[in-house]
Amino acid sequence: MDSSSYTGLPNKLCQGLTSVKSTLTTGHILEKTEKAFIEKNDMFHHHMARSVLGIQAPLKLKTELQIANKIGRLPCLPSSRLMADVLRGTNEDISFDDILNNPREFGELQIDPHLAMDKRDQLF
Amino acid sequence: MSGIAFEQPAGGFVFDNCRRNDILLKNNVLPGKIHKTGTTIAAITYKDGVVIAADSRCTAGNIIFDDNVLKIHRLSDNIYALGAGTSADCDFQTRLLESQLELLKLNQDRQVRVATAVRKIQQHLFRYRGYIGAYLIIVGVDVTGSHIATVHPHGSIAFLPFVASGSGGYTSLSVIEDRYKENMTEDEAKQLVRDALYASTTTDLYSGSKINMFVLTKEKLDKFLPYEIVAARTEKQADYTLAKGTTEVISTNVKKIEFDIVNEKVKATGAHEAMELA
Repeated sequence: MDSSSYTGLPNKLCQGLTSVKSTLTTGHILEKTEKAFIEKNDMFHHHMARSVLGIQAPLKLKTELQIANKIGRLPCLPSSRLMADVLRGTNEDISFDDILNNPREFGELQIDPHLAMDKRDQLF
Repeated sequence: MSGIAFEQPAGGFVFDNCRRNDILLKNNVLPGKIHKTGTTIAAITYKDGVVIAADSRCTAGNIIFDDNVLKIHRLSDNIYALGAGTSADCDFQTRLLESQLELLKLNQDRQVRVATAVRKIQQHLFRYRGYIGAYLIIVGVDVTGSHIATVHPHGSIAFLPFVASGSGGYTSLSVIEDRYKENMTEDEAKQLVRDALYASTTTDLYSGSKINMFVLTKEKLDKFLPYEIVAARTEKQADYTLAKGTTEVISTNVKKIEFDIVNEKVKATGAHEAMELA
């Protein structure tokens, strides 16, 4: 549930009409952990680098990751996210993210460019 | 997919159908049946390396689904894996691990170690909290020596001198526990593993058919496929075909089927053309 707006309530335009029931029942136990995995992994590396190499190492990594997320084209255009992959080390790895639901293979979602730009500029 | 997409979706698992499945189960729509396949896999270390063996039976309920399954998977030239549990999970995870180890080997330009393989698969399985049902035994010989590790679906590992797993695992383990000693010779080790597998293939219904064995040392890899065929089908004792007239004919009824000619078509077949039979 995206409660990033200042009221804390979900945005009907983006997430659709909500019901309490749908929030009580989880789809699958792994749904939550999978969503948070990439961030958690980054935090893990962050803490490890902090304790081994000192405060400068994680700060440097973090700025590099932020730059990697910022560069590139408009949010509606496809991007290979190569820099982010290289920084995380996933360019030399094969996992389920590369095999299952590869957006390049079976991209079924259509992204509305206007809404994507609105979200990026945080207009709602 | 529900909602509107605002950015590029990432790959990986999608859990959209889980709520639908819950609703279907509540409405008494039966889920697909999971077939459990039994196995016996065993591995022991000896003086120069490791000896690993597996049976070759795959069952679906009470029927032998496949008599000739290879449960020994290659992870690297010096590392092999034995898989028990959900066979699709074992196959696929070992293939995934094999490609990851190959990438690692090309990157670091060194032979991959057993501990690396075990750590990688352990982190991977823990990420999925045991939903990947792969009970693996990872064996190998590397610069630090020969190692055997057992990996469980939730991500726990143990490095041991000998291990056996699967539905016939306890039977095999009891034989190995009885006769195992440190630094055996190759023949002793092969005989011990063969006896252990023989015990479980004869007592456990879900293991059997053949015993496949690999011997892995620093220099060589010996494959015995099969090492021994445990349950060979013997010749039939008698002729079970029934003679004509065994079933008594009680009555005969001949009926004419009325038919009309709807369409007639005449086609010339050339002399060289072969007649096509449907």
